[in-house]
Amino acid sequence: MTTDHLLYGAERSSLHRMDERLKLTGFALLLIAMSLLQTPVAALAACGLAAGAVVFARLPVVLVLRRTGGVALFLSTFFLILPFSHPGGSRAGVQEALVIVLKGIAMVLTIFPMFWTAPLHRSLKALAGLRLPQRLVTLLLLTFRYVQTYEMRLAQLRISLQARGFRFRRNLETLRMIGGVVGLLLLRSFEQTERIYQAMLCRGYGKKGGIAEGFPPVSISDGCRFAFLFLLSLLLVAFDLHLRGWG
Amino acid sequence: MNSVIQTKGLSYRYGKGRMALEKIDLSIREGETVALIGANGAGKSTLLLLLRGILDAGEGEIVIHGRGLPRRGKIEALAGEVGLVVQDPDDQLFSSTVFDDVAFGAVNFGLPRDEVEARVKRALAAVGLSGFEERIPHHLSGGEKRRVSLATVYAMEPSILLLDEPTSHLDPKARLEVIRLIRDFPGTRVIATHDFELILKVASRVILLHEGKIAADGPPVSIVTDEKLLREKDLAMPLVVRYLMALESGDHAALHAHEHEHVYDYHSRDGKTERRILRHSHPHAHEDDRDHGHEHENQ
Repeated sequence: MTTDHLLYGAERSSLHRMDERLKLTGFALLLIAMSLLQTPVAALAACGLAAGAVVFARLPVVLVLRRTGGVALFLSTFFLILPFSHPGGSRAGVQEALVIVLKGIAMVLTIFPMFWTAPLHRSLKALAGLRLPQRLVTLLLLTFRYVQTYEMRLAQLRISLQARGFRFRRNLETLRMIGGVVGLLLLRSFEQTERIYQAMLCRGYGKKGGIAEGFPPVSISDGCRFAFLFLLSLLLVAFDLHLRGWG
Repeated sequence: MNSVIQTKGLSYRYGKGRMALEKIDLSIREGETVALIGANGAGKSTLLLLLRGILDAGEGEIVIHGRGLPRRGKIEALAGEVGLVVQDPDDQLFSSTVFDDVAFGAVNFGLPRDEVEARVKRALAAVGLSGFEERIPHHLSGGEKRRVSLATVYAMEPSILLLDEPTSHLDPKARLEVIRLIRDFPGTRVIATHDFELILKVASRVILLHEGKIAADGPPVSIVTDEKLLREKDLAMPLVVRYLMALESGDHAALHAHEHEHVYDYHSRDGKTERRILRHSHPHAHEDDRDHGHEHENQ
């Protein structure tokens, strides 16, 4: 899962070529606009926009839909709750649930072109370029780096268990073993954290975060792409306001 | 030449356990390459961590370039002077790309972007990994990781390089490449190792540690060929050294297969013979016996 961004982050579309700082800011604005929507039609339009962005970014649609499906399934539980609990009655409850589900799907779909059109470490470094504290960005980068390492180690431990005849079953023994393995990994990760911190200090880690930012100057085409995303966000909010009868 | 590293009465104990190092008096001159050898737990890595300021010495004093280490902020104070390459590259390579990892130290020095890029370029070229800038460190091979680890230190341009088991877990080709890189480093080197080939190719001096104390300190050849000393200090002379010694002294030594056995035969000019069976045809022969082979020696 953590390597998907590498598979699809290779250059495929003009979104892949976009400056990560502007891309993150533009899509963040779009996400904020989507979160403000209150009418089902506008939320549906947001879904269409997000789906369009996925196609435009030339991402694997089936995989994206599969990943979005789980979120949609979870959000659909609102259809079971809101019709019975909404103060405006069941019809208003259904409408509210529809807006939540559509907005949720639109926002999840938007995250894919936002983060899968560049290797994740570049997107995270772009956060430093957007003046987020370097220590916070360093922490995110380290987390991202070592989640992958421990994912691999977990897979190795799983193989070594299976190689010694252990079978994963639905019983207490398996749970106990999984608990032991996770505990072992946590213990190792704690020890390794100390060693990594020492290695960072050895290389002068202190006031600065040690991140070499180095983003090229923003090009005109990147500026145009950002303006387009900004405009889409405004139009989406304006459309929703229009549907709600504001002018 | 000047002493760049000096220790006086240096001792260290992990928690309440036994002494890991006891009263180490040491002086390393500029440009020297010192190999620290010793059995596991002899104190080699501990000494490196103390010299790098990562551990606080329980007793004694460490002087680097004529200055004692400060009580606080030792690690940071030595960042530009002493580089450490740790045993596990996964502890050393923590960034998301090779560029970021190699640049990390230079960025922390507050160098301008151009200078950082130039240093990264130089360091990667020095370890033969130009073009690896955007590669992901933990996806590299063991040898490449070790070379990037060296590059991370080279980019900081230290005058002293400390290396902890730099050739362990490497295939022969990667090992030779790492040995070459260590040899090319222009400053003072202190290497904790079990690799006798590395010692013979790089070191100008060997310090043998045993149970936290200096058991021997001298030229590499005299120490690695002293079988009695090595055995007393829980080390074993590798067969390759034994073979080289035989060739050097004009004796006959040969390694050959005999039926299902691998045999090392030695005949000295004065009539002394020795046969070491490295691989027995008998499957239940004891591994240690085969390794040391003393019971197969014949006078």
